[in-house]
Amino acid sequence: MLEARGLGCARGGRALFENLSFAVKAGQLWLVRGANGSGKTSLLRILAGLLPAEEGELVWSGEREPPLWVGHRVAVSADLTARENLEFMAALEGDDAGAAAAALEAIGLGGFSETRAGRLSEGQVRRIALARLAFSARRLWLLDEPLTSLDETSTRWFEAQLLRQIERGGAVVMATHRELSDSLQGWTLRLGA
Amino acid sequence: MFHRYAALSSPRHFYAVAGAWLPWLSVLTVLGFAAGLYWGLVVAPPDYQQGEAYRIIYVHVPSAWLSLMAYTVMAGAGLVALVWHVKLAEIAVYECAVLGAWFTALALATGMLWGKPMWGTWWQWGDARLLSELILLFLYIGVLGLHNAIADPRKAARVASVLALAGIVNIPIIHYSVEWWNTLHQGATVTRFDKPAAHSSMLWPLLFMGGMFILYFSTVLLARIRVRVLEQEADRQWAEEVRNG
Amino acid sequence: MMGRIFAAVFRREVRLAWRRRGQLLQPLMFYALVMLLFPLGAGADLTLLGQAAPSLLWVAALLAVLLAQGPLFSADLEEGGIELWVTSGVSLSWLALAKLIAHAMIVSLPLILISPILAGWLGVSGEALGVLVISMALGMPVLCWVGALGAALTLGLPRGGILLALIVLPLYIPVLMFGAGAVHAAMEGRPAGGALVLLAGLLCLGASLAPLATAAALRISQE
Repeated sequence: MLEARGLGCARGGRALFENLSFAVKAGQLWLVRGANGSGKTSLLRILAGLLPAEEGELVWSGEREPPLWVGHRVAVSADLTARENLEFMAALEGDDAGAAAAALEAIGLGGFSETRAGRLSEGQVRRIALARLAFSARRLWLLDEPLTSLDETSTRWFEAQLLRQIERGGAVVMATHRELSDSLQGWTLRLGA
Repeated sequence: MFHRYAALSSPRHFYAVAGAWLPWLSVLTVLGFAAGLYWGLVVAPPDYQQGEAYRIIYVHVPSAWLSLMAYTVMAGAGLVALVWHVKLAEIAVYECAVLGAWFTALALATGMLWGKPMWGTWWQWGDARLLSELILLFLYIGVLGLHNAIADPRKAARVASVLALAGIVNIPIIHYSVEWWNTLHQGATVTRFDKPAAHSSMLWPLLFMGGMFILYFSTVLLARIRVRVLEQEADRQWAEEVRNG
Repeated sequence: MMGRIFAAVFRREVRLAWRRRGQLLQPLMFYALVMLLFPLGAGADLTLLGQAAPSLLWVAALLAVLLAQGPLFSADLEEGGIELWVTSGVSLSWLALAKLIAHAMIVSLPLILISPILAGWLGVSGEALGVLVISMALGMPVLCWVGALGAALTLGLPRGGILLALIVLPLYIPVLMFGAGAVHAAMEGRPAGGALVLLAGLLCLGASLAPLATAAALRISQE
């Protein structure tokens, strides 16, 4: 699906990683691991096309596809309700906005769909952004620390979505500090080693 | 063909090539300037109306030309920086802005100096060119200020490039609007740029000085980019080798 | 598809503007206050004020527009909305166009509507009022878009406000000259059509170039 060849990245005059090569294939889960400041976020941003690669290149097999991106900042507006936020994301990414209500229900925010995101907790806000995973048609998911401030139930729901994405031939690259359940087998990319 | 340019645009090659050219260019610039000034200030005949005071055009007019040319070069470099991410072009944007701002300031200062004997006042709102030049100075200051506000030099260069391109689209509009405004409020303007250069004995030294200003601009630009390249690439191996002789 | 996305962005902007309507009132109040200051400063010399009215109105409105630019992208930056735009795969210029058109309407409309009232304070009347409204309807969107570009360029910078003014104000000059010039002309009984046509030209140019430049600036802001 996507191959990284000799990626290098320097931030603030300091080299984070150099000559990083790997290939993400359909049906694969990649976990990016490493200490704080080892370049996990930068790597994901390069893959997402937010950051130009200073060295090396990204090669797509076939056309370049826009990924589903859930960054550290989850793009949820505090002044819109949970449903409005999710529907906007769905419209932007070409997904069925009608699925938004069901997805909110599934991630346990059914009762908050008409509440402004500014009044929700951090974990709940993150769940709004992650609810897209329930209906997104994108083949590559790029997730930066998606599990931050998620509770037990949501984490299990999230893992189920990962499994579904992999089984249907999609791919996931995510940065995380947490351990995933044993049912999820992934490749690990360790930075700063 | 393309490979030659690609090689030249690599910071390391640029550093070497520019280093080889610079001594020659510097000597040529100094000699040319001396000759041009002698031609303009001594050899050229005095103006039948303005006497000797007009001779300031040999500095003023080329400065005004270069103030616009530097902006054009800056915008061109900005386009290259944005589209192809060429490091040298990114550096050129900032260095062009610095030089262009100086040319603009020089054009303004000499224009005002010239205005004193001409109109009896340093500043004349009726002069569209001087006003345009002042606005141009603010455009340069905007580019420099924006560049300086961003810590990462590569990002700073790209942001400044977008502003430079927005500026180059606006310069003709600003110029036109100033002239339009001028005709509206002042009636006839003082056109003092066409007169003195009417005689070829005055025009040739002016054009020659224009050429020398371009030469000076190119030389200093090259030198400045060369230094900045070394600075930005300080942690690369080639820069290390240069430093260690 | 593109139309649906355009509509979605537009609807979102309008909705957000309505929910943050307190923010929207600030430039309007600023405009009214500045126009109150001029007569106080000029000792209520009505002939002097009347002559300067077009320039005063335009300068005050221009500063009010400038004031409205600061928060334009700041929430989107902090919340990650710009990341979403860039990664969505939709043309960033298209998204910017939708946002800019919504933005121009939201910011300009109240300022344009209040202008005749403020102009009345300074003794502007008759045909000049009509020309004032038309010139602002043509010129204000351009000011909004140039300001939006400035906001995108200074996004996330500490003390970006003064820098924003520094880079945007020189670019405002043509609009100010044509806008105030049109009203001046109308007040002196000269035809104002020429200046209005020039403003319309700037409007077209702005609509076609501002989204491209803003999109480029937003993309770079993510680096």
